Amino acid sequence: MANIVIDPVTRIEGHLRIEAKVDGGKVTAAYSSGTMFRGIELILKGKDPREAWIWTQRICGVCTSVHAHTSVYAVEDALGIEIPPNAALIRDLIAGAQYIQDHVIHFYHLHALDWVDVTGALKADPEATSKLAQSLSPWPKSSTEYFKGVQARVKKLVDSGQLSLMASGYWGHPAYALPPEADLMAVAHYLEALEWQREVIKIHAVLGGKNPHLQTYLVGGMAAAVDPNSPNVINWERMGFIAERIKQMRDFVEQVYVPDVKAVASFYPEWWKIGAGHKNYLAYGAMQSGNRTDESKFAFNRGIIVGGDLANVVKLDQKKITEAIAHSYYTYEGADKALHPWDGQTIPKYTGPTPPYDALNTDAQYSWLKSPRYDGKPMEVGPLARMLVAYASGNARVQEIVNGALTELKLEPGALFSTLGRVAARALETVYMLDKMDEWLAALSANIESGDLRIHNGEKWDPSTWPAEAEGWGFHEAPRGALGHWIKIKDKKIENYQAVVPSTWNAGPRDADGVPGPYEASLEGTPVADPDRPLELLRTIHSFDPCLACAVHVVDATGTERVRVEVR
Amino acid sequence: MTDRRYGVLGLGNRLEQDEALGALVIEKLRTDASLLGSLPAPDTVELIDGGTVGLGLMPYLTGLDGLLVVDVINNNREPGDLIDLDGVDVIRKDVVMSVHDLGAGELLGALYVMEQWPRRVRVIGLEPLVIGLGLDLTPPVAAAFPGLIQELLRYLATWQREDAAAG
Repeated sequence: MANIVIDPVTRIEGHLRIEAKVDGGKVTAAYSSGTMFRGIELILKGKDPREAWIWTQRICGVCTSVHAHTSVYAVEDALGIEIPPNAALIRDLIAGAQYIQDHVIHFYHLHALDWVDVTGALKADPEATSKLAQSLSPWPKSSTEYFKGVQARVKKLVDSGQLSLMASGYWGHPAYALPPEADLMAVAHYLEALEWQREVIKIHAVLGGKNPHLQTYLVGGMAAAVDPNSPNVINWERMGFIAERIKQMRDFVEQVYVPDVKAVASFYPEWWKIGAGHKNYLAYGAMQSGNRTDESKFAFNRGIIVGGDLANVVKLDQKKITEAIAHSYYTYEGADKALHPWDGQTIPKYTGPTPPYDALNTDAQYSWLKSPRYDGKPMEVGPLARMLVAYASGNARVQEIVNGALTELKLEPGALFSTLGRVAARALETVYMLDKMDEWLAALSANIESGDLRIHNGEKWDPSTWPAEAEGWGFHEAPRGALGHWIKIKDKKIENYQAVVPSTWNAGPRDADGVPGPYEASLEGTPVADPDRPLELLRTIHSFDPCLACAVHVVDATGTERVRVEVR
Repeated sequence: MTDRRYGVLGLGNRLEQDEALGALVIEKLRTDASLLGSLPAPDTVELIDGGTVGLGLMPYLTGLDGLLVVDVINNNREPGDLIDLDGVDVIRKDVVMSVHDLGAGELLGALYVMEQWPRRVRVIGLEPLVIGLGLDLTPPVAAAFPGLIQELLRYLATWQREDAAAG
């Protein structure tokens, strides 16, 4: 039996280690371990709740704004603050821009190389590539000359040895199935997406200030002035700028991203049957336009699907969320009992092997992640969970988008319970999000036109107006999935703060009953052609868009291997 | 001369002790005006608190005449030792080390494949002692901090003088 170790597996900063046992060319058991302690909760204790978002923004490097967003909602929920519609719309516009940028980056720069062989691109015939591209989409950059140029650029990079982020350990792997022309087209779009993302994310600079960490969040609203006719605030000119960026997003998503996902998927039909896992899906729902309680106003529906049963969406009650620590490096009194996040404790107690080590002791504690459960069950979160919950809840626009894609690909809805299902759901929700961006911007314009310039509700800014004790829940759907912040406030200070992030839901370890987490379950049964180069495992793990303890950036100059594959 | 632009990009997470190095360098340069003020052309320097943002930082880095990337750097040296690397070498090594991490190496790599490489790139930092939960630098890294600031200023001053001489 081969024991394959991938450590770390994340392409975005973070620390995740996967151990997979392979027997007879298939994974028989998998273990997912977060190898770094993330203790934001300890830092927040005793701080002013109004500043929590500044700290939580630093939890994760790639999703800074989502933690700020969720944190201010948690405090507002605790203190009963209603925010003005303009503030809610601006928060949603920031979040939506983040989604669209993240999903495109995920596909091209974090996941595509699991499906696309860069060396294939060098063998492609540019003329045939041009024909292929033009058969898929009206995107203008599709001439023979264009693809010749891209091919020359890639060759230059390969020859110079500086392929940089296009480097992959798995070039020429037998599990790659695209024809060279599709490889070249995808690589061209990979490069275009880098340029594109740089332009479109300027929406954040307009709404959030120039610093890469957004500056304009504020408990009670936003700290960005809205005035149609003033300079240096959110005015007509800047709204026009945002509208243009949304158009730019739509062109690329509809003409490049979605067609590419469909094209790539068509060469990997078996991946609609691999990687499902438990088929339990959870979505908090989000983009609530400031409304915390009326679920009908949420852009994404809230609910739970159990065991792939799309006929029954279970209503979500956040009080049924717990975190277990049976296999996690934590301790507290009564450690066998899972706790709701309001009562959650973060007391680290490392019992694992001393690094560097060959294998985890998976019978005991083996992860810095806790095991979140809903009503005792593991739940997958993310784009697939959101699209399935919305689809099964009768969200008409989502049904239209999903059914359209299923018809085109000749698939049943059940095919979505898979690795490719996650990839497809991410692309389809990007289309859905574009519609929402247009709606939110139009709503913001209409408000401003009607003279409503309110952006902040300061009624409860002064702590003397607060109750002696309060508790709140801030929820969001981050690009990677359901994100919750739970806060308890006592004597104007943070008494307890717990963040349950999407990757904890997905990458958490087994619970006290030995039930595996979503990553672990989804890897079971995955075929592995070459245990030395477990490309298939990366496909499924990357389909979740993992990002854990997302915050260590050490430039490693020693040449240390960062992806380790061992067969024992 | 006036349209020259230089950048100091501080990377790292403020919540992880020595990992905060890049962010603290930016803060120091922002709050103590005498530091940049000692340069021939202080106004041409942009300070970027990159945190751990990755590719999202690209808009801030294109078209620079010189870029200093400040981060903790693991190089098996003594904690607090100054490490100074050519940006091109960081990308080349990263090909070997990191298949797909979207970190500093990839950010630079993206500039490279997009043919928007700044005219000069140095990656400068200190060997860390501890990267783990906490808000303060460890003593050896804190002790080396002023020397690091001086080294950054030396680079900026040299580049500015070279460019001024070139006209």
